[in-house]
Amino acid sequence: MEPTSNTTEKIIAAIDQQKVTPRPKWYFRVRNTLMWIPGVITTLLGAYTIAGGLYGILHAHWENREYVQYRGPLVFIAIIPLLWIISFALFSLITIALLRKTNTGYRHTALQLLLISVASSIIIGMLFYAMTANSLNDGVETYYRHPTQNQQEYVWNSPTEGRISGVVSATSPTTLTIRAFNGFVWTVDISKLSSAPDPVLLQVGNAVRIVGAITASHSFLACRVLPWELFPAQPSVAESFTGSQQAISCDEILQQYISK
Amino acid sequence: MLQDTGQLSDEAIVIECKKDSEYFALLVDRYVPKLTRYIRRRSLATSDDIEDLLQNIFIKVYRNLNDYDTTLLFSSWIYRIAHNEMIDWYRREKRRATLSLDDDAQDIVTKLMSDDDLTTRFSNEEQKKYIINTLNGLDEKYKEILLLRFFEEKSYEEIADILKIPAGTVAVRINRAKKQLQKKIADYGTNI
Repeated sequence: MEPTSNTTEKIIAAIDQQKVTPRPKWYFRVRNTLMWIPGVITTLLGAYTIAGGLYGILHAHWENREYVQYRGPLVFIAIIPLLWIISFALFSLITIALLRKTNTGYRHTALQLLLISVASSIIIGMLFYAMTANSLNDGVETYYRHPTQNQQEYVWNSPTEGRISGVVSATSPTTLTIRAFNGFVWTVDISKLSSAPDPVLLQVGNAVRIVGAITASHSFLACRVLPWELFPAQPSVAESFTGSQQAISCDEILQQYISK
Repeated sequence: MLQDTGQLSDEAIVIECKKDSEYFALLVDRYVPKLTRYIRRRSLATSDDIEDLLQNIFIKVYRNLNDYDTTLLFSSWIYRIAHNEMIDWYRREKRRATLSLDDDAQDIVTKLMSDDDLTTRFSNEEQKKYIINTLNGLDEKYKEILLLRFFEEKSYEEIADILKIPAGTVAVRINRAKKQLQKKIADYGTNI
């Protein structure tokens, strides 16, 4: 077909002169795919924060909160990993901005993109958590455990407030030697426990958290020994065990020693 | 040999262009008048500028033919390219986007205002100038959207595809732009 106007003629001539040719289809396929990659990455990072947050919430040891001197909202600040929540919000916002840049991203409102991003992150994060949280491998999932572990170690290394934690390094019928996570070694008197922990829990190499009070330098009187990990299920209290004959309640110990 | 080309839709021509580049002249022919009008309304570009802009637009269209998404109207796609080219041009020329609507000033009032009395009051040159200045005083995003809606007569969906924004945002912007304009024009009408 012959160009019908002078302008058309000039334009066609310019295209010929500059030897312009259509870019190949693969070029656009690659480019359009690449545009999705940053959004996918931030969604995955969001999912990772969800897995971390989930781990933090489920491993917060809510049932032991009576021994932690945080009350009200402070419990959440102390236990829930805020870092994960803030990171998740940040990644979600970045994802929205990146998805907007894709070819069809503009057809959705920011709210729709936010819901897509958050829902994807939550679903992938939960799957990721389900697949990795109880794994004993030192894989990538151990990184999302670290903040929660650190937080728990911090909360449970307060001997003056009646809490210590660490790994059992030696045992006797009435004492445990505990190497705390900060390296400090404690001799723990377990003769006055108010409830019996699973004997397996007291084996060398197990991580435990202990409620009680300092009685002397490096000495701790325990009223409760709890497992460090919640999962697998908390070791059951032996049904026949009604406590040591010399047992005193945690309240008594805490009042007697800590209020001094 | 090209036959019965007048019957072909833009989208069909694009498909043909990929097999036979001669078909591209058909698209150029169809869109030169529309885009010339669009550029003229959107800017104070000279005839030479317009020719350069058209050339750049069609070269981009040709180079990116394989990127054309057939779920869009071809006209939306080419207007999107034209819109981006205009933005680049403003940047290069370090100019502020200015509408040139001398011939359309009366139309604007008719299309934007439902008050017939008010419309009739805007008939002399001074008033026409006021309307154009008022329009040019709007934010760029409002100017562009009013131009596409009321002069290029694009639907909300087409405008969304051209500007790459959600259709809901198009509706909101048109509404805000109209309100701003109506208020200014009504104020002017009260004062004269």
